[in-house]
Amino acid sequence: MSSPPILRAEGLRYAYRGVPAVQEVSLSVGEGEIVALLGANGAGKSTTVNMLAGVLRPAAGRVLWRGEDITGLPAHRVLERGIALVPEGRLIFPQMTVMENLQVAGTAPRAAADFSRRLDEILAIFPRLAERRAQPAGSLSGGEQQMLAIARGLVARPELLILDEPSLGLAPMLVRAVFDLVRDLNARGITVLLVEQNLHQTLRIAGRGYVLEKGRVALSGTGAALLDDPYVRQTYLGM
Amino acid sequence: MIPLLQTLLDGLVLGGVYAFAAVGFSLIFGVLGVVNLTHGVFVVLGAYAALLLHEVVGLDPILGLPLVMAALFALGYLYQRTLIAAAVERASLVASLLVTFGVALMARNLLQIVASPDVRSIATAYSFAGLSLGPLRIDLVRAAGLLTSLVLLFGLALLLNRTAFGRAIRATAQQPVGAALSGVNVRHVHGLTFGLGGAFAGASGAVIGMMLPFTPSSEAAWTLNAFVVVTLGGVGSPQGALLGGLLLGVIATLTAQYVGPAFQNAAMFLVLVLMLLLRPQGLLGHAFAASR
Repeated sequence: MSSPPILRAEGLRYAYRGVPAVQEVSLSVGEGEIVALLGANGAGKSTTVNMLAGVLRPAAGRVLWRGEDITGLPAHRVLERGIALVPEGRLIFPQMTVMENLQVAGTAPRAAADFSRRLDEILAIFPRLAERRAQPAGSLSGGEQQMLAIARGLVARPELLILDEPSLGLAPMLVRAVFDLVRDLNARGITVLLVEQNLHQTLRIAGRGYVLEKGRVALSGTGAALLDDPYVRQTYLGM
Repeated sequence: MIPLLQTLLDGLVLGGVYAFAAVGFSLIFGVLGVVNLTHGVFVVLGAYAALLLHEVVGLDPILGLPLVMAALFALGYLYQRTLIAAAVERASLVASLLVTFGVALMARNLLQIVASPDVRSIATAYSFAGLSLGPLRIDLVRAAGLLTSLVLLFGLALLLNRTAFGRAIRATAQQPVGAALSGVNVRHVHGLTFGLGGAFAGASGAVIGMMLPFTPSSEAAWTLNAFVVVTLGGVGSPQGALLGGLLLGVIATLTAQYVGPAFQNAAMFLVLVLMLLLRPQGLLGHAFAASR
């Protein structure tokens, strides 16, 4: 790892009504990195990031952010620390306009001070959303809804952006746009933790990655090493 | 013709107050998903609080509204953050039904001990004055009650649609996890929404106290009223409550005038059953339903 970790998760565990989803996950993310969290459906990726962002409270383990223990803090307080999660399924507010969706995020203390300037920056990154600012978010296409979810996550100027399957259900062209965007945001100084099933494209932009299997870290390493790993190639790339 | 118009006018006036008395229930159900069976208790508490202010300090019930609303807002907030949140988080939304039912029973009996089961009403200086609109007549108290109801319903609609707090409430109603990830303190917003619902229920109680007699056991009737209004008009919005309330008011007075006062409840339940058969989501639908 090139830089000291800003986020560390140690021994995270979670079960849904007695059914274990995450058994033992430890990972770290360094400042400025793009780290991939990979694995098949049901491997525990979303559960893991939901624990990192405060949506779920871990049954065991710790989450450390810049050395501070933030385990079990509710999501809005994790956001105040500078960690934003763009959740699986987007979870936008469908009956509110695009603008209102962003305004909700703009009320967070971390975002409120310079919201209007931040809004201009964000609408410059997402011209599509600027055009549709007065439309109900539920009327947007899937790709536009994903853009809105990412835009909403950026309002509070996060230091770490966690994206949970942003390419899910998008057309191949849009998938590429999402990956380009992630790389672009990272170039602007945002650290990224990217949850994906799409190994090939993800490992191309990610410096490092973790592969989850049945709620545990099965493998970890640099993007290139994982792409060359015979086990990964066989299991996930079908080669 | 004149009696029909007079009946319609009476019905609309009553309906405006019915809407006001139901909007808190509607908001709480729409945002939290909690069916608040203590709703009528908040209405009746508002009536007794207004009565107390009127008899002890001599404060007019309408001028005393801010005090009544502040007190019931605080009560609603604390009630949600403690009992109701515990029931919902430890068990389920359905558990809150049981909790609010139990609290309503206890509150009613407590109120009977403290305030006695006697029938009360608030008699203001203008209780027997009236206004004439051509051949039609409207009691001054009812006109004031209707105006207060409409102003506060309009105010609530503005609050929900035009302010940051209103946006946080709507966002939480549509997508609580998304709201939390956007920096909204969802538990706090749930508490505040419940407080708001309680404040509106209490305010309606103060207005009702000037228009109709009340006792501690009136709470059941006002919970039922809220249920019917929401079923008619739709959940979660002041507009839905207003439409449902006006309809209910007109149906109730028309029935009382032309069929007989004994048939008011029968007509109300007939409409309720028809509505559940034909359009169970209410005329305006669920304000936040597309996301559920």
